Amino acid sequence: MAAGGEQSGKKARILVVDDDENMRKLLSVVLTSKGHEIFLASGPIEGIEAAARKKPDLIVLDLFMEPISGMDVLVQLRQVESSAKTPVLMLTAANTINTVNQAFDLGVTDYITKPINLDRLQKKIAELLVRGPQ
Amino acid sequence: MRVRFKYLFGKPKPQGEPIPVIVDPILHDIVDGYLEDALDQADALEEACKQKDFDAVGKLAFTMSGQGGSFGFDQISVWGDELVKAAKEAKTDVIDDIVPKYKDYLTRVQVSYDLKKRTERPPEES
Repeated sequence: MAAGGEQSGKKARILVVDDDENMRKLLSVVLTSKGHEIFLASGPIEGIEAAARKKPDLIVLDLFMEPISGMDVLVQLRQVESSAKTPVLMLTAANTINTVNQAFDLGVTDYITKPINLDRLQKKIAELLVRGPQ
Repeated sequence: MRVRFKYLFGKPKPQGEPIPVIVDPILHDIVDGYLEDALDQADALEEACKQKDFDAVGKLAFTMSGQGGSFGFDQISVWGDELVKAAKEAKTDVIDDIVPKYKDYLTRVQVSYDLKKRTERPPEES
């Protein structure tokens, strides 16, 4: 576990789950630049499988995906022991109280809205890695 | 490897002055690919509007909104949000107004990479 990733200089293992290819590339470039090891999943089912296989230190999860949403993925991640406490940062365009509250009720660790402010993203990732498993 | 026959002879010619946008240098290697995809999306938006396929317009606009500002092109996200709303309300006049502006923007946008001069940033969350 690479808790404290950026501060300690250790790299973290981060899984990005997003069905948008351009967003996966962007997240990969930004997070790789900080020395993290990135795993990319191009959809929700691939994301659930990758989480079980790779056991990442942190998961960046898009909300709006098909055939199941990021919320559904979150529920499944929390039911599996290996990812039950893994920090999950949700990407959402819907910055509404209802959506955010529902995500927190389901066990999300934090969220960030699209379009993504890259500085804010890096700061949130660093904070979550310092905090470690929830 | 993706082959873009549509732009085999170059991208559409810009009509008017370049629009300068300063992008985070960290995105240098992926911005050109994003802008090419954005041109494809603009064509798809145009076609969806012609077909009055508002569901498709909404989905494309949603993607446009999420990607634009993330890559440093805040204006694209603004138009994306407006198009999402217009698609929900089936307002073809709004869509017909924005899509040509979006295509024009994509042909005129001139990217430079200088973190110190970066001015276009997505809005901070509250």
